[in-house]
Amino acid sequence: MTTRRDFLRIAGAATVAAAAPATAAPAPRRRHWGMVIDLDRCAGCNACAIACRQENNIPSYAADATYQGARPEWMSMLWQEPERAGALPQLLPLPCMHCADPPCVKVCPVGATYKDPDGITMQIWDRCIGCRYCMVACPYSRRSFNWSEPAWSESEVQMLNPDVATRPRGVVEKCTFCHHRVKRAGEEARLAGRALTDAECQRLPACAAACPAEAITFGDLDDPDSKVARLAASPRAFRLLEHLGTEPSVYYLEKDRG
Amino acid sequence: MRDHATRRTVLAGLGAALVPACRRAWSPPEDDPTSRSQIKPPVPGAEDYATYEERWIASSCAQCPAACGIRVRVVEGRAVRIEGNRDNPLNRGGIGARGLAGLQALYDPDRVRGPLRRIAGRLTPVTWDDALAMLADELARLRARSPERLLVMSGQERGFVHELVARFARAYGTPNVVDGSPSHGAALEAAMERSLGVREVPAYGWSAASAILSLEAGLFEDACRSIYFARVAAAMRRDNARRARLIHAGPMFDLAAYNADRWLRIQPGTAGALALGVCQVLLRDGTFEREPAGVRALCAPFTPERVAALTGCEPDAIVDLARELWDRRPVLAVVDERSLAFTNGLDTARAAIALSALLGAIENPRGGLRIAPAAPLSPWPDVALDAVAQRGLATQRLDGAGRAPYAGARAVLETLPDAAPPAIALLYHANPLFARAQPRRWRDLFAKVPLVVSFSPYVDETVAEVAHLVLPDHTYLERVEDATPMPGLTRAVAGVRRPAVAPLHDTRATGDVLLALAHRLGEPLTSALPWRTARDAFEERWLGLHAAARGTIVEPTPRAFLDRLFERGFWAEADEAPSRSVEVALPLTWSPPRWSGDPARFPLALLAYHPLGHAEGSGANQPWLHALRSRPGLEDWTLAASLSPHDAPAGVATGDRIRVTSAYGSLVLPVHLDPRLAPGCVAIPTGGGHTALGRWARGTGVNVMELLAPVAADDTGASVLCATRVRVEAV
Repeated sequence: MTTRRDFLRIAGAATVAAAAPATAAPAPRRRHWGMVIDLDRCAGCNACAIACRQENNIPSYAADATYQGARPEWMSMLWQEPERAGALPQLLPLPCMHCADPPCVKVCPVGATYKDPDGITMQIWDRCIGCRYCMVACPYSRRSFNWSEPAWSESEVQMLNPDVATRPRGVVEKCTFCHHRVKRAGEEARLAGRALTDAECQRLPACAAACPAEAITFGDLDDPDSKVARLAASPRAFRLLEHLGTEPSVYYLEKDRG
Repeated sequence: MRDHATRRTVLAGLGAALVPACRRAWSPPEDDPTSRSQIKPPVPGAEDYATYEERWIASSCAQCPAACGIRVRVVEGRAVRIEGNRDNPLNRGGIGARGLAGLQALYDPDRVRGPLRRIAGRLTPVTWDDALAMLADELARLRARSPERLLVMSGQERGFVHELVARFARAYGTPNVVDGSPSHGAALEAAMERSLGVREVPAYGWSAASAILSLEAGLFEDACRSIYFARVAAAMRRDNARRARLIHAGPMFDLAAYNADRWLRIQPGTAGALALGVCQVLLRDGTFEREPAGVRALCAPFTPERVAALTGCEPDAIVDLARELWDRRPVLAVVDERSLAFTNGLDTARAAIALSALLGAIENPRGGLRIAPAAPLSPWPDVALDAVAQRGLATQRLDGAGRAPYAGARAVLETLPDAAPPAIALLYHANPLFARAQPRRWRDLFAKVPLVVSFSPYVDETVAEVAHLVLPDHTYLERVEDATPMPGLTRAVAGVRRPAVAPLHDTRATGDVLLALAHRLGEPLTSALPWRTARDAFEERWLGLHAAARGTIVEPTPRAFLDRLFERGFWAEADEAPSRSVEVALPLTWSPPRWSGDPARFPLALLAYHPLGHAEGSGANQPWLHALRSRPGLEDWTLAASLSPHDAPAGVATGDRIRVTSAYGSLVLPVHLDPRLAPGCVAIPTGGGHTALGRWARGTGVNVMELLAPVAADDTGASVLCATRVRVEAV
C-alpha cells in the first residue's frame, strides 16, 4: 500500500525530473531594449507619430477644445523652444523613455504598470484603476488618460490592428516599444530555430519602421555589437532629464547645426 | 417524497442559476469597452481568408504624386496597416504621415457608397447601368452637336488613368482637358523644357554632393518628394564621407528652415534673385565649372548689394554662400512647388538651373540636377480621329492655354470660370469648389453647366453642391493601376497598385468606367479605348518592361512577369541612368513677384502654403493628418495665421482671433505670433474650412482660398498661390 509519504516522495521526484530539462536548457537571453533617435537625421515629418497611432489603435478625436492636450498619444512630436535667445527650437520625437528606474512603476497602487524583464515599462490596461498617479510621477509626461470611451465608426473599426487591445475609458495608456511586434519577431526567429538578429531589431517598433530618414534605431542596449548600443555610446548621445536618475532607455543624438 | 433540499438539488439549482449568469459574463455586452478590438464587422472579401490569416500586399501609395512603394497588411480581409516597401529604391521602407493615413482614406465613414444622381435637388442612389446609360446618352448627344463643349478636369498629372482620361477626351473630340491639380509643377516643367529641352520635373543625384541649397523649397513639408528628401538629406549628412550642408533660403521657419544648417531668411518670391546673385559672385571670382553663353549679361545686374536689397539678407551672406557652394560642388540647387508659387515661378526655376550649370551640377554623375529617366513602358497605339473629333480638337481651348498670354501653358485653371460654360464637365480627382482660388467663381460656373459629373469617392464640396452625377471611384487600395512616381531618382522606377482589399462599397475604378462609356458611345471611341477592362490596358503598357528584359524583374513569359510585378509592387532599372550631355539655355530675365492689392490698403503679403500632410485639403477627411506638428507654436487640429510680431495689431497675442482681409474676401482665425517669420507677411495653410468631405473635414478652420486673388502666371498659366495682399485687424 502506498503511504502518503511514498506518494509525496514519488511525486516530488517526478516533478524534479520534469523540471530538470528546463533548468538544463539555456535561459532565453535577457535583453535591454532601447532606442536611439538621431535628431540630425530626423526631418520632422511626423511619420513616427502617425505610425504609432495606426499600430496601437489610438483613437482620433475631432477638433474639440475639451481634448486640447488631452488626446491619447504615445509618440508625440514636441517642439522645444530654445533657452538661449536667438537660437532655434528643437523638435523631439517623444516616446516613453522606458526608464531603468521608472518613477511611474513605483507609484502604481495596483501593479498595473511594471518593468518587464527585457527593460520595457509595460502596462496592463485591465488592471489600471485610473488613479493617474503614474501620470503625475512621469517626468516626461509620456502617459495619457482616456477621458472618454474610445469610439470608431463602423467603417473605421475595420482598420484596428488585431494584435493590440483597445483601452477603455478611465484607463491610462502608454508606449510599449511595440512589445507585440518585438515578441512576434522573437517568436518567428525561435520557430525558425535561430536567434533574433540585430538587423531585424533595428526597425522593429512601428515608429522606427516608418521613419523615412532612418533616424530611429531600436535594439538591445546590452549587446555591445548592436547598432543601438554603438549609437548610444556616441559623443552626440544624451538622455532627457538625466539628472533625475531615471536612467531612460531612449537616447537622443544631438542635432549638428553645421 | 423528501421535503428538504439535498446536496444534489442544491447543486442543480445553483448550476441552473449560474449558467445564464456565466453566459452573460462570457459574452460581453455590446458596449463592453474591452471587447472593442474583438468586434468583427462584416468585411467584403473576408470569406477568402482563414481565421486570423494575414497577407501582405505590395502596392504603391497614391496619397501624393511621389508614389512610394508600400506594403499593406491585410488580416481576414481588413487592411490594418500600411508600411513602406523596403525594396523600393524610392523610399526604402520609409513612409510619410500621408501614406500611413491611407487607411483612413479607405475606411472614411463618409465615402460615397454607390452611384448617385441629383433628382429634385437631392443626390439619390441609382444603379451603375442607369448612371452609365444616362451619361453615355448625354455624351453622344453633345458629341453630335459640339464635342468641344465637354470639359475634363483631372487632378492627376501622371499615370495611367490620367492618360486614359486624356485619350478618351481626344477621341471624343474636345481640346478642353485640364490636368494637374493645383500644381506649380507646370512652371518647373516649363523651365526644364526651355533650359534643358525636357518637359519633366528634374531628378537629383547626390552620391558625391555635399550641399543642398533649398531655394524657398518646401523640402520636407510639401508632400511631393518630401519622403525622398528626408531620406536623402539624412544620408548626405550622416552617411557620406563629408557631412553635407543644407542651406535654406525662405521667408518662413518651416521644416526646411528647421532642418537647415544655415537658414537665410529672405523676402517671399526672391529666391531666384538670390540664385542669380550667387551666379554673379561665382562669375566675378572666376569660380565656375562652365559658362553658358549669355550668363554674364544676365547676372550682371544682380550684384550682392542689389540682391541684398531685394531679398533682405546681407551682401556678405551672398558672397559667403557662393564660396561655400563652390567649395562643396556639385550641389543640389532645389526648387519645388513652394518656391514657384509666385508670379515669377518660371524665372526662379530657370535661375536655379543657371546656378546648377555654373556649379557643374547638371547631368553630373557625382550629383546635382539630372534629367529624370523614364521607364520603357509600351506606348498605346495612336488614337484614330474621325471628322467630328478633328473638328472639335481644332477649336480654341476654353481656358486660353497655348495662346498669349499663356503661350507656354498646357492648361490654365484660373481663366476657366470666366470662359463660356461647358455643356458637360467630367471631374476626376478635382474639387474646384474647395481647392481653387475664389471657390465661389467655380460654384457660379458649375451652376451654369447642365451636367457635372464627379468621379470622387468622397462627398467633397463639388459633389455636395453642384454634381448632377457621381460615379464613385475606388480608393487606391481597391484598384489596379500603374503608379508612375514623380521623378526623384536617377534610375527609372515604375510602381503598380493592386487591390489590398475587396471594394468596400458599390464603387468602380474610373478607368473601367471610361472603357464602359467608350463602348456605349461606339466608334471612334471603341477603337481608341479597345480594352475590356482597365487591367487589360494596364498590361498592354507594362509588357514593354517585360520586352525590355532588364531591371529588377526579368521573366521568361509575360504572365510570369506580371505575376512577379504584382508580387513586388514595382519595377526599377538596375542601374543609374548614364549622364547625357545637355546644352543649357538661360532665362532672359528675372522679375520680382507681383502682388494683387493696393499696398496702402493691404500692406501684408499673404503666403498661402500647403502644410505637412494636408496638401491642398484633400487629406482633411483623414483625422491623423490634423494631428501633425510641423511648426513650433501651432496646435494640432487648429488652423492659425502666422504673423510677425512687428505686423501684429496692437494688443493682439498668440491665440487671439484676427480678421484677415483681402480685396476678395475676409476670414477670422486664430493668430500665432511668430518672431521668425519675415516681416511684411502673413502665412496661412491651405486645407481648412471644408463645408463637406465628411465628419473629420467639416468645420476645421477656414479656407484660405477664399482670400486669394485668382492669378495665373504669365506664359505657363500655373495658378499662383502667393500673389495676394491682405491686411489684418484685431477682432
